Amino acid sequence: MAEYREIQGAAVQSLASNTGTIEGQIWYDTANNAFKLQSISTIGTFATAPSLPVARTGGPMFSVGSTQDAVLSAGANPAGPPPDYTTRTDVYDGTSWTAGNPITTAARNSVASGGASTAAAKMVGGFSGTTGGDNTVEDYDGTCFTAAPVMTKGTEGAAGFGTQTAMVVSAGGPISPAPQQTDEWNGVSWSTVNPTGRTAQTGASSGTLTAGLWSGGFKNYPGTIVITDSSSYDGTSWTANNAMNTAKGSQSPTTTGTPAASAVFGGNLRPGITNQTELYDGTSWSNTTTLPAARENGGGAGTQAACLISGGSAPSPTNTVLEWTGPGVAVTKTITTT
Amino acid sequence: MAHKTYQYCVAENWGKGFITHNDAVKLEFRSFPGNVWRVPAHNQDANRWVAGVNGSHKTLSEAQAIVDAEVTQAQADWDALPAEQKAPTAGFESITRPTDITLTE
Repeated sequence: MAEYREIQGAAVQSLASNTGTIEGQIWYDTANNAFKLQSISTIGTFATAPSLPVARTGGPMFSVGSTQDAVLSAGANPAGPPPDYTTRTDVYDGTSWTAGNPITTAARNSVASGGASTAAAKMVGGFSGTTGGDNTVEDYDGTCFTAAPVMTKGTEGAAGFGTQTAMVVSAGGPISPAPQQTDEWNGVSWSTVNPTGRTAQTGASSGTLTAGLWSGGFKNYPGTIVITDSSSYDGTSWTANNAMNTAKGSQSPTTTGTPAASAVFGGNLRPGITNQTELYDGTSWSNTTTLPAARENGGGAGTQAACLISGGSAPSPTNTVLEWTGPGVAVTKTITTT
Repeated sequence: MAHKTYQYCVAENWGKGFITHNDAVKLEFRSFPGNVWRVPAHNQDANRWVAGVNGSHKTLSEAQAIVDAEVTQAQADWDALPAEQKAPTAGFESITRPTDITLTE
């Protein structure tokens, strides 16, 4: 019988970690005393992650972070309408959640800068009891929230993407008088730029100021009309994309996703909530692995390759958290004898 | 005897490691109220997972009873909410009334 050395031209290496291994390589993991295989995921999968300290929902929830292992979750409502909205924040380090410093204004349905870092995020608008939404803006420096220059209009459930110093906020509430208004933040001030060309609230958004993606939402929030529309922003103007497969709002986005690689999880179909996952590849949307249970309004942070979905409603408020690992991602498997 | 497609257990989701990505590659998981989990029947990977999470096997009727009790309570909680949270109105996001869930085997 042929041996591994004869087939591969080298013996199985003993390594302390998967650093430097390549797809298809088998090695002996000296840290865990097991044979391992470096592989590429062919389908997206959900794994469980540590639960939020308390159940929160409403939004989708404010959540930022570029990976599964560094996520900031803030605000939303644990129980009911104002004054029950919370100023609570929690920070995830890949192992556990730790309570962070509070936001200044308790609100839900705020929009987050997609920012690649939890050390520099921006939280815009939301609903704290003012019909039509707030115009408040808060900056997060990795430790504390501080007030920043306010928006030109109040907004709730807007599309938002970018960073703390270069961000776009568009549409959202109130539905009138300027439902398609788009505003850019340049690090110093807000300015109004080209409008969206469509109206919606509480959809999913991700990306950067010059490459943003916005999908779904409620056309008559908080009414009954959910939409399949999807649009991209290039820093100057909006372009309509191919539609999602299913009309929905309140889905959880991959906030750091790009117009060429994003995903949305769950959502509200009006009526009912869904466990659907849709991926966007820059051209079209496709359905893929479903969530273990239907969920809406969860916080989504990360990319199409690695995302953390925290809290939301299922349909009651939940504190459960899921890790998403997308297709085409390097994964390490343990080789067993069974 | 009818062939079972699914089996049910009750297990508490403790977070990381409860369902791993390797588990999810092999098995399709569905969760229901009351910490009820559905995995494929007649499947060694599923049996190992249930054992590994210290799950308590439930028959279809036992699992259905647990889910029914949770849904009934959630529906009662929803019914007790203020009106503005039940129906979409300006400024308030409605909370969906939990619907009945029918498990299948």
